[in-house]
Amino acid sequence: MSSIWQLIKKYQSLILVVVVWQLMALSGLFSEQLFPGIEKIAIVFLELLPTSDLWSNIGITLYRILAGFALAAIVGVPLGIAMSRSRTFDNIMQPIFTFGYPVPRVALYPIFVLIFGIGSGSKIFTIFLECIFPIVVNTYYGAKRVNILYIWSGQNMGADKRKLFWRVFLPGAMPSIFTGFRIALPIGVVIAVLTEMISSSNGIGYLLTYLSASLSQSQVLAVVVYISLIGYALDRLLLYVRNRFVYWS
Amino acid sequence: MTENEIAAGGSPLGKEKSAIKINKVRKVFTRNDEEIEAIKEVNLDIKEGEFVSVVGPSGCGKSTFLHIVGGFIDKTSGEVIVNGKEVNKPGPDRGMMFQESTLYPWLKVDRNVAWGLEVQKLPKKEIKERVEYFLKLVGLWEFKNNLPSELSGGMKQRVSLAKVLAFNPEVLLMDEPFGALDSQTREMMQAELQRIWSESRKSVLFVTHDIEEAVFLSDYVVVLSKRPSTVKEVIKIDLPRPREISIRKSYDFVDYRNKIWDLLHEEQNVKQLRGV
Repeated sequence: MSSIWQLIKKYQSLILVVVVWQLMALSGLFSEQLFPGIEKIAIVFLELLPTSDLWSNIGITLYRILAGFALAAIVGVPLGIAMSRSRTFDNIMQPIFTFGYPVPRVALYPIFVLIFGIGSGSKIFTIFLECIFPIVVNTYYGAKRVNILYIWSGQNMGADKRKLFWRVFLPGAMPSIFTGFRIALPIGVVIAVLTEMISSSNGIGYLLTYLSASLSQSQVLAVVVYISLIGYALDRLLLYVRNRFVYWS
Repeated sequence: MTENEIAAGGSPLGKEKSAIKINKVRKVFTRNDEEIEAIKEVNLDIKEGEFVSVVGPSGCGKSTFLHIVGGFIDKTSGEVIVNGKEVNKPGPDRGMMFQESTLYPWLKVDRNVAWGLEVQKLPKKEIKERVEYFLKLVGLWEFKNNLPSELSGGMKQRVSLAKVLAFNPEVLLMDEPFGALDSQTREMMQAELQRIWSESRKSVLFVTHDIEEAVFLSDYVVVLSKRPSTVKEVIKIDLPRPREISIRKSYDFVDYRNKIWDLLHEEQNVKQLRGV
């Protein structure tokens, strides 16, 4: 009983949104086409559940998110660390990150379509570009902020540079690296859906555009719920991995 | 007694050889093209087995001085000689303990103590024995499987002490190791350190801003002047050992305390007058 109550308390804001939505739908102020009730969205949600249409598109989108994100992590973490360790390299790279951060990289997507084609390549590259910024910046500052006394203490015990890097510096920077990951991953989800909505013949974003063309709002909303569930699941997964890696904080 | 007398072998342990010898150490920082002289000249000679504290007005560069001895920052000129060898880099011959815990938060207590021993590639069996011995020495063996974040500040510093002692340095350098602890824990740690020191008989160079702590623990208290620092005076603390906590109430103890207090406040007054 108390655990149900706690669940309600935890998600009270979500419950409020659902209730307000339902009241708006029942009020009759908007047409049912535009403002379907929760029960209608739920029915479409369940109807979509067993379809291969839904799952094959989710699969494609997930592949793009994870590929773009993984590339960003593989390139971004070493880049951030290299910038934090070498002043020269930092000076070379810094302008790209200070000027590039506020630029919406997704605006370059049409160009990437011309270069990489309309398939997954252009989308993965855009996701990569969007994800790499928070990863590099968080890695960079995390690496800069590794407690100097941890390094000194390691030196004091006679550790060489390699040991200091792998066994002191890297674990010390790990919490910030994961902060970067956690900022980047939802961005990856958004950019995947967005690029699929702009031009694609598959993926969950494509499904969304396809369904909105049919003016069925309840179907669009059901897909939006699926997207948010994907985002939520990915974040939980990342949090699980983080807590395995960064178990101490 | 002055530094020169100590340098000339004036200590009661004078026949023994020097553990740490500081010759004309000077440190100038450069910040924004401006040169700031932190340490003008410090000479010290610490004999084997001696406990020597360094006190000084705040901002006098006593921590900087200790970091130079530890090899963590470069000196502008002068020599630091540990057991006859000149040192310029950090090394396991000088075990350093900092004010803040330097236990790695991602390692359990026993792995933290073992870390330095693993780096030095000691046999597994010996590492195990040493970890157990030193954790028992500081009374924290039953916390071996805890993460540092699960320990109190005092416990963390006890583990840090075990960690430093475990790799068996020739001398101990301590930079206000109890400075962040509450006063009761601090007194307990001081008594604990005295006990452990009297067992291990390592030479200790101890930096603190706490005069009573310096008097309680030390054979000699070195009073530094304000920045740029020089050795203002070296005071021999002739109190019997082992010292009980209650020694703080004795006249001799209070005399030493007052003498050092006066020396420090001479320095601070000059500084304040200048500031006005």
